[in-house]
Amino acid sequence: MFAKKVFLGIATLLMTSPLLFSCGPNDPNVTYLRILNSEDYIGRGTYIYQEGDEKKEEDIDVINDFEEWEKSCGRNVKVIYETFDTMENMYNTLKTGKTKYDLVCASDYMVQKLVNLDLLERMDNKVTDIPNYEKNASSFIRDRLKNIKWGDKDKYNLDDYSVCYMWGTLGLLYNPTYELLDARGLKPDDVHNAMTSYDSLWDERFQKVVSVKDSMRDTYAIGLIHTFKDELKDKSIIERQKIFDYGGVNDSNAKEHIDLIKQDLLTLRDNIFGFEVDSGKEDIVTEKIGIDTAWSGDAVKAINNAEEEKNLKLYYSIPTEGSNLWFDCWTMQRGANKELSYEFLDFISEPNNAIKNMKIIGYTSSIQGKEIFDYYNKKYAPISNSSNEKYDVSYFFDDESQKELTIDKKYLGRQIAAQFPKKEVADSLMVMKDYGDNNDLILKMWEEVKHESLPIWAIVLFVIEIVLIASAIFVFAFLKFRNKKQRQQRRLKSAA
Amino acid sequence: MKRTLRFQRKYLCIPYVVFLVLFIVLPIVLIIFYAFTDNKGFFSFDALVDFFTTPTKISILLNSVFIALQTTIICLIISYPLAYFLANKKFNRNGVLITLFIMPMWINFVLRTGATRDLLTWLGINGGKVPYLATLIGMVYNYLPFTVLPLYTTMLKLDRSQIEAASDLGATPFQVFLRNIIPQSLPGVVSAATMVFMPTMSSYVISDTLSEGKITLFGNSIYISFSNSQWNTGSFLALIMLIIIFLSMLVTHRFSREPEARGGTW
Repeated sequence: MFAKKVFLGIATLLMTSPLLFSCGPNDPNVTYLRILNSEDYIGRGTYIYQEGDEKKEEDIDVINDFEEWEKSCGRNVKVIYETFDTMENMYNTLKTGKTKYDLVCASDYMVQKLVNLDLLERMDNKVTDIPNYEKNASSFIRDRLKNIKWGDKDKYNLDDYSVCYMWGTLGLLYNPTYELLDARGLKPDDVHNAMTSYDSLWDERFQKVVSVKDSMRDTYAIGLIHTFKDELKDKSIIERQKIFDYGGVNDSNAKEHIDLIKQDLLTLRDNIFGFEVDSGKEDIVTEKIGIDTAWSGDAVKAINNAEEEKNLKLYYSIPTEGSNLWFDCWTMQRGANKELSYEFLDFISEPNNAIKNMKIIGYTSSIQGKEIFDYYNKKYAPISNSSNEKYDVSYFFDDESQKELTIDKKYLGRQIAAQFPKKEVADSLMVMKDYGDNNDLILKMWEEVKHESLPIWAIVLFVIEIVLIASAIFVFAFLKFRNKKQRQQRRLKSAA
Repeated sequence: MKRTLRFQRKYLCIPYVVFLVLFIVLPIVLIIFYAFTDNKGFFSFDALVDFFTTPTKISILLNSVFIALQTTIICLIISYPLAYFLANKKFNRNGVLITLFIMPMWINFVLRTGATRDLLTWLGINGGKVPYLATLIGMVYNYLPFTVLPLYTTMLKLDRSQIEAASDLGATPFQVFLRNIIPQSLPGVVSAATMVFMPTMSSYVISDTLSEGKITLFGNSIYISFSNSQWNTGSFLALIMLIIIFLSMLVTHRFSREPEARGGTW
């Protein structure tokens, strides 16, 4: 009885305490920072890692760290952290402008759209505003961002409006020992070879084992690269990027080009297992599918899960034709608390905090430097001396001394390939910008790709059913009408 | 003065009126507004023209009607005899069986669909290979309780004496069924059909999950439009859906309303 009372007491206390102790967003002593981010996209949670033979846990909360840090500087800051599920939904929220945010995390193309709507503040004075970012961000990333230009006479560029948070690629996550492939006589080596090209997705040998993204931009990128592979071949990165701009249709015959890509994607659709957005990274572990187009961070997670849960070795490959390089960036909304926003961005651009974020999220941060280099060296450290392997990451790390990671062989073509594409691959990656005016055309194309018209048997069945139902209704109405008439006649007769 | 302040019974309606306006009338007005404006807010028929000139959209609509119709028919075929037996106390003592059939309704349907997907894969019915079959199974499984329940209530209320009289007066069991039980239960059939047909038309999670994204239903189409900030197109599609629902309500209303439907119609 007593226990019950105590329990109830605690319960009520817990339920009412937020009402009692938390201060509403109007508390004058507290400065609020409103952040809008993708789900599971910040260092918040428990990081489990292996050290020697024992499993260790580390509790991470970057947001809390930030608040503590502000407190140590004598400021009372509270972060209001909210999340969204898809970029498009976030865009709709910001467009209607009902809620104000200071910082919003958006993908590269989405930043473009937000700038076009004039919703963002410029952040072009990074030297004084965000010194940590200026110092630590990889010049590989910065250069790429500076080169994403658009608008009248290319007056906008991505670097002026955003701070890169995470970056990654789109690639093929695959299981070389997948049962169905084995049954078709494909040895692991054959699979490895096939995965160096997008042709495999169209290949009959891989029929019904591939899932592609149910996301217009990603699958369109694959269609674009596959359709224009000859045009993309052996070109400089600037020319390749030009082909990629505006969805590969920056010329007058946009319609024709989109039609070509559509035809290509329609044949792809008949060959694949299905479209997915979230389920793919689990399906490949449970062996529902053998190949999945995946974002690099998801790939790392899936590779780790498969190894832990089922002792299954998954691989990640970026086909030689090239792939989509993407950036998720922090943007500052119009009317934001600039000072505080810069402090937050500066805080997470500090290498140790960037590592904390990476530990939880699994994606690769835009921040480089000694600490990051050491982190990867430790994370993928060779297990024995004989399995040493050098891995070239010189394009990402700016310092001369941080050219090559020393990693274990077993990570090659797997986690490390997702985390850092090989140097020659990294140089061939394109960025899929906002489609601009072509967006409607491409959306229409996507609808057609996703839609399957009814098969013949269904049409026949459909017509028969409709005829039956219509005639039933007709007969029903007719009989009712006749009954009514008869009754009326009877009534008339009896009245007479 | 005092009189106007006094509590009147009609004040009890105020919450409902507020609810009605806020959550039903206003959204419909907004849908109509967006359906007939362009993205700058001016009056335009763009969305309408766009819909009727895009074969894909009409084809998607047909697709959804097809799936919805199949689901309705299969659900009715399964649940009609089922409800008849369950209404008989001999088979369904203390209502355990009916509870079992309705139980899936208590579980969140996104979860349920995920589980169905795993189950179907395990059975070898794989959305990647047979998208239509997988979708239909999922739809029927999800909406079966919605047909069982109204049919069950109608069957409980069947006028047994009328059935007995019919067989007493020399009707064969088949005739009893055709001329007595069916007309008596018709309102139940109609309400069961509306309970299934409408939601299947607009559902998209089930088809998306079970067909591995290969079947696009009208609901998906609306979602894609809205998520790509094509609010006008999306609203017009929603309006089309409303009109279809309204039309089918009109048709079904005629059936369920008639009091003579209780026997003797044929």
